[in-house]
Amino acid sequence: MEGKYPQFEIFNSIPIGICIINVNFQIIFWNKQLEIWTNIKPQDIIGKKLFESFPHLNSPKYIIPITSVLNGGPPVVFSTQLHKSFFPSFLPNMQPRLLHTTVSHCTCSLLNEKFAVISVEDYTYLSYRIKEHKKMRDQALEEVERRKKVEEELRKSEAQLRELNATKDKFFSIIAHDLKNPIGAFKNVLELLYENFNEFSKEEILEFIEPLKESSIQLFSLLENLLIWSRAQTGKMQLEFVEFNLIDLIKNNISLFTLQADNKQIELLTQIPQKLMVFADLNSINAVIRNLINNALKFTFPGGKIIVTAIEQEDFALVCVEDNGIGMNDETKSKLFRIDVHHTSLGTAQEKGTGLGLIICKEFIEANGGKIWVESEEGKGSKFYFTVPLTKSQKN
Amino acid sequence: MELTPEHIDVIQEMINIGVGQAANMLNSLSGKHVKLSVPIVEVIKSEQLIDFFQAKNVFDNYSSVTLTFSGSLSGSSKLVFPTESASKLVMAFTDQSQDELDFDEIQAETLSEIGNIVLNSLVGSLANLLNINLNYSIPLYLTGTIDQILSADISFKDDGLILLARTHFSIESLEIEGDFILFIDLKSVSEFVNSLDNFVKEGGFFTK
Amino acid sequence: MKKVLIVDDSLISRRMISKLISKHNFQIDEAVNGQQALEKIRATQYDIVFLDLLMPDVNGLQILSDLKKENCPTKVIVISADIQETTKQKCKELGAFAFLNKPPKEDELDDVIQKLV
Repeated sequence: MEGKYPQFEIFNSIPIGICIINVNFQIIFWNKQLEIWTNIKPQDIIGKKLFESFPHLNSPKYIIPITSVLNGGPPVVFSTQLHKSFFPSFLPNMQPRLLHTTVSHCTCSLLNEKFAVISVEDYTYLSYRIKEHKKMRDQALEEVERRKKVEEELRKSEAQLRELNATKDKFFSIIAHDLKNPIGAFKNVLELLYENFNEFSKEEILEFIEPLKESSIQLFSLLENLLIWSRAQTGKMQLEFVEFNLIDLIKNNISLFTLQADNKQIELLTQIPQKLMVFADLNSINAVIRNLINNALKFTFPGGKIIVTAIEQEDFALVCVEDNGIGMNDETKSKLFRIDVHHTSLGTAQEKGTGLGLIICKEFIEANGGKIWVESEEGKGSKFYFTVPLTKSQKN
Repeated sequence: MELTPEHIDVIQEMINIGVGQAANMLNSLSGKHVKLSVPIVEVIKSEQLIDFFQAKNVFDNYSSVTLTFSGSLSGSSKLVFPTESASKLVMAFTDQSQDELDFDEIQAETLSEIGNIVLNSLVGSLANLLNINLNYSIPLYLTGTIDQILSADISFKDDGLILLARTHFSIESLEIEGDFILFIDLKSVSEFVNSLDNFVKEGGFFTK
Repeated sequence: MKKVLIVDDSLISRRMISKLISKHNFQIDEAVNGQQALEKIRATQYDIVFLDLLMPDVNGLQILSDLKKENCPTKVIVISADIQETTKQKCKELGAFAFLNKPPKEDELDDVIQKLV
């Protein structure tokens, strides 16, 4: 049959696969390129019906469109994604060759015969290249994502470092200002006392010693706070959560400060229930109460009042240390619990303070799962609140 | 030469039939039901054609399949999809996930088959019903702006007849819109009108 | 004399169907859209309704559904360009008596009408 169609010889010289069928679906031409792609020789397939050699084409999906083309209808396309193997063909590496197939009508006027010309193009390499490019693009996108994450981490580290630096600076400034001066004063007074001991009367000596004693109490308190705080910073402080009665802690601190309060002619009162069981670290809560009462005493005038109250509020114990002392304006209030802002405040009896105590209070309360905050008005006084989680049984 | 409302009515019906055939073919190829809405046919001039598409966005990307014909009638037919619809149409037939919306050459190749199926149904049914013999070119697949797509067609610059039908269909939850444009070259317009008249005269659809 | 209604938005379609069934001597009425069709069906008892599906205002399936809900006894023959199997199935579920592809062949139409009568 091949001899019957010499005009098709030309198709053996083109890089596109050509298969021609007649109206009976018989293959009448099979070109060289198809032979190379499918390993089917023309002599073995010419004369056979399309569906004999390729049974998977024997379905309406193919028969109907091809019949329409044979009858003079418009060309039909079979794409590589939807028709994996119109004419099965494989690459040397056993991967399927992706063949784009077009079937178009041809009327041979000389012989007055109708044909369908099946043209096959190899899209394999194009497809591979596109897949490769997509892979590269996806990899690049992944890389960008990864870098974004790294940048994010860096930013977090930076922020952490900045905070650490602020902490360190505060630490040093405290040492520089708030320790050095009082200890300097100590040094001077002691030197003076030592050199002129015999010249002073007992009463005069007592006058020297008295402020030193006061100062030493404050200094010691400051050192204690510094130690606690530095331990907390280095993570050496271990919190031990136990059940205890918060009221006991408050009562202890009240008795501790009673003498001091009396000396300053300040009333130290409480409004507390008998029992308030909490689940927290005892030492840190103790330090908080101590610091707050100490502050209240510092900033209240003689004749003033300090009230410590404690109540149950939902799942927490709410404690308030209230004074009617000098109070704070909004600016001071905003600086209170912050480590990066330095301020020294003078108490009502000219006691010096560093604000470290409150920073420590905030860290301790938050570590225990509570909150601390202040309400204050300049000239009227301040109220310091904090919460401590209740024990399960207390909650009920 | 002007088309009468009766002519338009006939063309409308033929396009309906073509759309029905296209939907049926898409259905059997994808295994999914195709929900159709009526394509409205309009006769427009070439200037109006560009305006019609540019009403949206001049720089929108479109995918199109073009089938040129000669013989009893000469002209060309086009199916134009905005890239998003082209993407969705391909998605209905392949197992791609929703977020792979970038339309690459592999999808373009798949679209060339699907677009061709729809185009063939439309043009084929017109030719069949009007009983005219056409010779067809190999379908041409193009992407670009509407300007680029239309200018690539010689028939666009010819001063003949332009018919536009907006088709809208949905496959599962995918909404697809495509526009069918039929160009009849000036020299074939009278022949076209004649075949429409013959069609009506000879009892139309049902006497074959 | 049997009353029939032809529902189709296309003039040429209505004319052609009319011509094809002229031999049966029906009393033929026409509706050009879904809304009109429903009104007419509710007002008059038709023996047969020839229904197109693809209409601009409302899809023929919606009409079928409404008629089913109202328990309309009229026999509906769907003649549509939408020839998908899934569509034919839907029509059957909605109570259509028969489905014919557009354009319908005269002998097919005759067969269905025979079955009805």
